[in-house]
Amino acid sequence: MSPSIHTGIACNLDSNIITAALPLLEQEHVEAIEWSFDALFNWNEVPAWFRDLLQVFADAGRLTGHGIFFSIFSARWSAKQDLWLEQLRQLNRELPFDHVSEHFGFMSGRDFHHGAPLSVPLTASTLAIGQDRLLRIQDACQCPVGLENLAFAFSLEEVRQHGAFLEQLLEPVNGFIILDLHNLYCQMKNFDLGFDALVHSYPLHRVREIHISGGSWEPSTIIPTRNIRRDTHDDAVPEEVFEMLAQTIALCPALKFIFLEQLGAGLHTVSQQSQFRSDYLRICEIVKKHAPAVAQGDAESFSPRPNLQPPSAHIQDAVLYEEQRRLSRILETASDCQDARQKLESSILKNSAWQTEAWPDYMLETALRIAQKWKDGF
Amino acid sequence: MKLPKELLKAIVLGIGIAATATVATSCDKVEITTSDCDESCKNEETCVHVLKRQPDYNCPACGMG
Repeated sequence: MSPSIHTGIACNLDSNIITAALPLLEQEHVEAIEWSFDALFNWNEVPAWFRDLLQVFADAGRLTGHGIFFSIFSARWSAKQDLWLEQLRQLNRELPFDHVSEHFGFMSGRDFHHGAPLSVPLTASTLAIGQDRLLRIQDACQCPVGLENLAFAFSLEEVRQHGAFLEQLLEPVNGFIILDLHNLYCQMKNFDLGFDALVHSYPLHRVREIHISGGSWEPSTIIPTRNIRRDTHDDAVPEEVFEMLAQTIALCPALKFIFLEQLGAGLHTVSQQSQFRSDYLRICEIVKKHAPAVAQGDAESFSPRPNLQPPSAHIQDAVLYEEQRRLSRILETASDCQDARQKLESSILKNSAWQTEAWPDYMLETALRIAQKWKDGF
Repeated sequence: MKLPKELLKAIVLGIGIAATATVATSCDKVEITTSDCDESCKNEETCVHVLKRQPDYNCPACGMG
């Protein structure tokens, strides 16, 4: 018997999000909540009403945790990661998550806990580091762990490899994938790819969760005729993403949750909040229509494999760390794409596994914009 | 999912308070008060020293923002 699919919202401690979602909560449309728990790790006190809201969903097995700041590919282990795991371990005892996920990538900021996640090349070293970190997350939360596909890619080759990379990362921990359909949409638009070819490049049997969101277009100064699609979570869901959802549900036999993600900052007005609810109800309708098409069979639970313990020594890579540090520095400080290109050419990244020579300028420019925006955190 | 009525009431009350205090995960609400800003001009409506971030609410959480 396949699991029923629960539709919900990414609900953080943000008055705009909760105001927008309140009518949906009152009308019992929200079946699950996803919470980015580590956004509040530095807060001493969480309001009781928010805690109670999370507790109701946790008690029903409908609360999922979605980390932001762990940075699974940082090549050097940090004390902050130890603290992050300890806080997750403690939190999960109080508010048990049905599963816990993180983002693919390493944080671009100065200490790898600030900035935006950027991709890494698939090598034996990055794979070993990612597997090591996932095992540690699973050890802390004692529940299924997963990764979300990344919206940003430096190159088409990275996009093509992404699904296979996720499969290799997740297999040892029996992990799952969050398939973010707007992230796929970004890659389709930024690399001129079709949906069918792209979605089937992912191990769809591992998809336990789908994310739906909106985003924005940013003009490229490199190619004036091209707009870059960015996953900014600040606007309505594009029609094409709804169509992608309708096609994807039947492809994912282990699908359990579908979440609508939008930032509270994009939900200031009554009109924006109304659009959010409209998008949510549209998702519910699509799920209702397409869920019966899900293949029957024993649903994958993604339970942790028995007797799997992380080794005492963390896997680290000094060369990769230096490459990440250098890349972050270049992206954060280069004055423009040409400047970044020159700095890459004279760095240890030249002729490396990163294959920076194959990065199109318009995506390098996008990486600069992302890194420089988020270098001080948020 | 059905939520207890008391919880829904608490959320409504909580949102009212949170509207002014809870910005933990909202990316564009961070304001930087410069060292020039003294106590007399902390009112964000009138203070010329409070540098509001641009209305640009991309978020690193998404992986691309």
